[in-house]
Amino acid sequence: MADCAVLTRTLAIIGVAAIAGGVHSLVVPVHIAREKTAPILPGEDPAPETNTEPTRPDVGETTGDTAPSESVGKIDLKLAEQLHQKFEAGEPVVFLDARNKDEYDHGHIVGALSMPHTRVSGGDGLDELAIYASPGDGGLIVVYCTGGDCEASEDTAVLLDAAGYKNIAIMADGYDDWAAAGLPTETSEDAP
Amino acid sequence: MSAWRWVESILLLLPIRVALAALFGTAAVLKLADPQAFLFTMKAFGVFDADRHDYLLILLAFAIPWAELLAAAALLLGFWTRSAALLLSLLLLAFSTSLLMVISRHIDTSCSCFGSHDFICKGAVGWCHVARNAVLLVASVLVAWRGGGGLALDALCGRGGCRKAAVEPEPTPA
Repeated sequence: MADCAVLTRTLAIIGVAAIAGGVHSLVVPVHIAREKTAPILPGEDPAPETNTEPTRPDVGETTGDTAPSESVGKIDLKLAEQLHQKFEAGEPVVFLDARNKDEYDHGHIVGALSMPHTRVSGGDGLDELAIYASPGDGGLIVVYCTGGDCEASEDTAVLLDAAGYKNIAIMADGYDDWAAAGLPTETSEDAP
Repeated sequence: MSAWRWVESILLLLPIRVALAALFGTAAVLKLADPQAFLFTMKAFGVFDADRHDYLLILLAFAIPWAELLAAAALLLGFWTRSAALLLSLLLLAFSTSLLMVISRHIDTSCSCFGSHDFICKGAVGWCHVARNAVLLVASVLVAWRGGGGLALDALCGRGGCRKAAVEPEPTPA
């Protein structure tokens, strides 16, 4: 009998927690996914909506499937390198490092901003990003993390998308591949 | 209440209750302060398919910290102590199972057990987190088994509720 009461009370606590959590989730907005679209590269006009032919498959163009594939919005190392050259030439491209601050301090792509998702949800990351890019200004944001199956880039992209930044590209090859390829990196001590 | 029961209450059950309440209360507050981070962590764990069960994940991202908070408050007060400890035991079992899945799949993600802070274990999910959970599980199962002890509201209220306990005090041993 006593054990039955213990179980009943446990279920009661779970019920109260579920109700409190449900109400809380209605009050505080959170984001779990974004609509993945192909990024628009600098100097390139947005594709007309009627154009269904894939024109840029290497950056994950939609191919007419009802559900976007995993590669949508992702760019490879070669294209990322080209975009970094555009960034260094002053074109509207921003590189964001979605890894944690320690990893960023040890080494990151030259000129990249540290932007783990906690900085975006905390607001200070968006303030820093606003110095370089504004929602709707057409600039391209390239987000990267370690590489492989790391989720950090997508998490940061989800929150940036919710903040109004729609032109986002995810580097499928992460920082490890970038550094291994001998592409330009710096530590936080090197950065100006 | 026997002398042994008092010793057990003061030296064992009360410290464990307070420690569990402090840990889970802190963990709950830190998670509720940044539910987005906890949501991303659960998504990264891959226990549920985020595309199919997004609403379930969002509900859990809020309900789990609330359950921790309610259980912590109950443990601290010693009210519904065994139920609160049972709930924490179930949560710890679920957390540990998730951690083992993350380790077996070689997923590189943080725990977010205490928000962006670390408690004992640092960095990505690993065996340290499993061991920490095992210790907490032993403590919470002990409280679920033995109850809150003499220094708990449950003991004041007795088995039949506070009114009955006031009318029928526990007999003192001869």
